[in-house]
Amino acid sequence: MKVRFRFSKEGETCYLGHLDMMRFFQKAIRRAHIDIAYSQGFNPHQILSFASPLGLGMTSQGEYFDAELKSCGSGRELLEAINGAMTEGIRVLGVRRIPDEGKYNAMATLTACSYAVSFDESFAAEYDLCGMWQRFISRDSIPVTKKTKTQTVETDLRPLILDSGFSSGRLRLLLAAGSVESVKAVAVLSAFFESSGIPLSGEQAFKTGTVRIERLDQFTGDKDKLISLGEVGEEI
Amino acid sequence: MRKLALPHDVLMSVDKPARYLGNELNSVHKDLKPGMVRYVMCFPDVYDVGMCHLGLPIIYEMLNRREDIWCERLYSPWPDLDRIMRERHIPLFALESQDPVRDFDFLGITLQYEMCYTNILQVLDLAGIPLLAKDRGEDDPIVIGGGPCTYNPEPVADFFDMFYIGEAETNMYDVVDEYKAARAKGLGRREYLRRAASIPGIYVPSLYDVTYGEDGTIASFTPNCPEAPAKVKRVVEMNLTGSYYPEKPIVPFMRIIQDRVTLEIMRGCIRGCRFCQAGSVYKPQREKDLDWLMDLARRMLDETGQEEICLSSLSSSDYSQIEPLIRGLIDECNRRMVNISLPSLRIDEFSLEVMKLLTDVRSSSVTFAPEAGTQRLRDVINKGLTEEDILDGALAAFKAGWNKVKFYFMLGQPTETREDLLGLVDLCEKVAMKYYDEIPKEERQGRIQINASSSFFVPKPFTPFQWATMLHKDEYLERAYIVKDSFKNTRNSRALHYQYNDADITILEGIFARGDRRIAPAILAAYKKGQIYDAWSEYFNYDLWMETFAECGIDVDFYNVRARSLDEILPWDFIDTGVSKSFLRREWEKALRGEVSPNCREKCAGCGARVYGGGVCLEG
Repeated sequence: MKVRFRFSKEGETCYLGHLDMMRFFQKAIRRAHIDIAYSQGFNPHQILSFASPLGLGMTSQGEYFDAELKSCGSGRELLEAINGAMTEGIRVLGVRRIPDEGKYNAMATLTACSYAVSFDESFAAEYDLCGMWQRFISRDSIPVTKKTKTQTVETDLRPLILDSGFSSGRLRLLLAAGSVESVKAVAVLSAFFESSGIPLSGEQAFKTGTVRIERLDQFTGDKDKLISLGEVGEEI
Repeated sequence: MRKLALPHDVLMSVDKPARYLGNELNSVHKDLKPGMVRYVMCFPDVYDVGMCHLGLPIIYEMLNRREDIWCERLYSPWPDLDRIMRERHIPLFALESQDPVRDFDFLGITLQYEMCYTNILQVLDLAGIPLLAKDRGEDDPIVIGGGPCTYNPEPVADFFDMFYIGEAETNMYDVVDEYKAARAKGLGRREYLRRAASIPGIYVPSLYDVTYGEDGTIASFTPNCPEAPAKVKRVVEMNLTGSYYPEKPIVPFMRIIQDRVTLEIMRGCIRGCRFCQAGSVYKPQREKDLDWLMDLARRMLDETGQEEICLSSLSSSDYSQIEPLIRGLIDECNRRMVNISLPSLRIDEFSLEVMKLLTDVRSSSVTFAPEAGTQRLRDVINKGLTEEDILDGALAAFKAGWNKVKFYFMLGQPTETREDLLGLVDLCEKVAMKYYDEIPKEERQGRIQINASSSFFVPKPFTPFQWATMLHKDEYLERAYIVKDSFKNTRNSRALHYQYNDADITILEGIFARGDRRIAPAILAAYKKGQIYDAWSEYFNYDLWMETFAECGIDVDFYNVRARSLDEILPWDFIDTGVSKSFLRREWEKALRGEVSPNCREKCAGCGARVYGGGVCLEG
């Protein structure tokens, strides 16, 4: 049976990379004595797949991985077992059984991610960020040039920002994600700062701590009826 | 949430910030209480390497069992962070509490290899601790060294307040208790060090005076206070079963060099390889109880969730219960889908049988470490491995389906001649021929592959070869070229691959391994020129070192290629490892005559380690 785990990543665990998290859960699953399935061959590995990698330095309330289990008790028992093997900052928030077919794979079905961006106090005091954002987001198109190794591509960010809003000093973003079209939160911030005359790139602001980014959740489905990856499937 | 020592922007700009967080599963975090002794244990290399080491976790476990001590960890910051810490004046911090190292009572540094010496200075410097012990004041931590390089601590003696010579299990608590007592009495640093000097195994360099004769050799080495013993005795834990062991090993988040649990099955070695320092300074061989080991293995796997367990010892095949241990582990690990790693197993019927169960025969190789190419030279070094052993082992491996063989050799050992170098190639070729002669074509799994590698021999203190002379760099390389050329001209040259380690590091290792206190200024000077991470080829700078030695008036040849007389006072003679100097001398003379000595189980050779009253010495 295929089980989807939703977990949060808070505090200093934001400095752990995607591969570190995979290794962490592989070991945690062993410590929790969860009856996971292994691949065949001389180096069997747990059948596990993670959703979209989280950028280094970001916290999250909505990370996911799918695991192939041979058996498990109730959802509550599974949750208790895995949380007994966690460390400070990492918590499993929910488990659900998802259909076995490959097309429900967390990574493959991903279409959007939501983020909360918070700003350093002195930075927020310096600019009218809320007003600037309103002007930015009311534009019909936000052309940006993306440089790859071989070429420069012009893309429009506007359709990739599915929803946004300012509340209590935090900017909430719903951005297209997954294999078809996607945009990173820092790229949106870069475009926002540039069009607002703020002399900072999103990357710089993020690395220096001027902005903090938390992923809130990841979604699947069409953009007009998004479903949280954590709501797919059924309770165990 | 804890406060981190490094701000967000620093963590975001360095490679692998997980190295500096200290929040790994099973790391020990305590509430600071008044009077608590704060100890930080440092492995002076990057986290990825240091976290693989077993010794430090044993001390961590031992000290943290006590409520009045909090032991934390420290690894060398990688050069990227090093630069930022200097620019921004961020003091070096211990991982768990993230508190500055300078605020600790003890800074313990394990010396696992000579090439970490500049990293000691890096750690002291970044911590804001004076580099020379004599410049330290009451507020500075006591800097204590331990580990294999303390069997000649003299080149780094100026940087340490004391060394712990031997195994921490025996007297580490005494070192701390003496400190607490001294502190309670209001005694200062110097008084404490004098008192500590009378704890067995403790060497306080400042309490000894060294004079040199006109020829540059040591004229006298004498204690300058009554508390300091003339001979510092190596301390040894005789009851390893049930002793301190990391039952809940720390589980790193990031990938380290060897990410697995380590099961130390015994200490010491029964073999008397004459080049081997570990074989000498960890005598006598002491085994751990089988049931205890099985229990420990289960607990460690439960507590970590690790995917691999590795047996650790100098020669696992000599563990008397090796078969039941491995069979027991295979049962246990199969159930858990855990891999078993078995280094240092002799190739024989049993090891091939278990390797076949544990590894993919097609992609793995069998390994031999004959160290020398001819039987004559193997007799000189007392390596009890014959050509017949190797050919038989290889044939058995071929029959079991292997076709990859690895060989480890050392070049530049005493009495080595051109014949020995060519013999090495010959041996590899014989193994290749064995494959083609004995394995029918239809049973062969492709072509044979033989990978031979060699390093250059560095004589180490407390071995029979401590009197051996080394060679110049170009002479080492010449020998490697002879081997390389000869490999090219073999019939199976396409199947035989050879590589040799660099000779530059060998020269440095030589001078550090057998140097005296006069080397320290050069280490300090090289560090001041920016030299750190010498163990990493991308940072090692041979020319800078040679230039620095010259500037400091140090003659490298004096330490490396000079013939030492047997009655010379060696810099490490003040240490009593239990193995007597007269035994080492006998072995050195036998080596030069090409005579072998029996191993401890065959016949006691009277090395002196019997004084410890246990282990293999009292077996049977």
